[in-house]
Amino acid sequence: MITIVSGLPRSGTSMMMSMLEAGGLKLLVDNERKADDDNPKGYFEWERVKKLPEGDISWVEKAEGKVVKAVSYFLNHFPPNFEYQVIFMERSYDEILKSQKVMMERRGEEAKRREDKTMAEYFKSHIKKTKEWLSLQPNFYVIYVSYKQVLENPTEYAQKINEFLEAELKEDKMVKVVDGKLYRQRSKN
Amino acid sequence: MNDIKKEIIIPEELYNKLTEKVSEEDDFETVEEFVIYLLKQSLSTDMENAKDEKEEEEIKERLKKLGYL
Repeated sequence: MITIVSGLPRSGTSMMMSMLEAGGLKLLVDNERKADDDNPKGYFEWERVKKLPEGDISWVEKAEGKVVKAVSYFLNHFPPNFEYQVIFMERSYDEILKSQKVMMERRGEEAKRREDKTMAEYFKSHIKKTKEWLSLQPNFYVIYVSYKQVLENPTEYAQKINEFLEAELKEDKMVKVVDGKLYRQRSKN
Repeated sequence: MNDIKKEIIIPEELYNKLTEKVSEEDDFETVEEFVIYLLKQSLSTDMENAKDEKEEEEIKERLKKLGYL
């Protein structure tokens, strides 16, 4: 079984990776992308995930028994001959877009606020299709997790995730790495 | 939509096949109704595909800007 932490960029995937690591799971990461102001605790990425659409799947067996982070765009590129447990992070589109804007600005990329409405529509449609696709895959087991609710109730969510993974995670340690100070782009409601 | 209609010339063989199809289906009374339905379906699929391509392109661009692709 391979565990995938997924969701849109800036939906809390790195926080979930740090929780799973603290809980005792092994992560498939290469640390090529270093921690920065956007992800002060690191990105927990495996660069070759980005090559999945090009058919680079030979590494996937290395993820067996481990956790790998893959934004939702890559999910349908994982090979069908493995079983996957997906922790799919969800966050309000408004917060995701604000956080992405800050990140793009730091990276020197153009980030126009007026594009947000269109981008939100694209993301909504992409997530809807991804969820439909996931629901039809017999080898993908999925739990949808709200970033906001993890921050509000880390103990409850550590337990939920432990149950979903049927693991013996150290829930107290998972809770300790949840850092509310990193919840910087909050919606008003 | 206005009610003005335009004529389109199609091959007789195709027309005959469409007539057969209409006689087998309960949903359409005339070939014209059936053809209008098919053309609307086709256009809507094309628009949906174009939208999907644009969506894919924009999401890829965003992922690149964020360093995820």
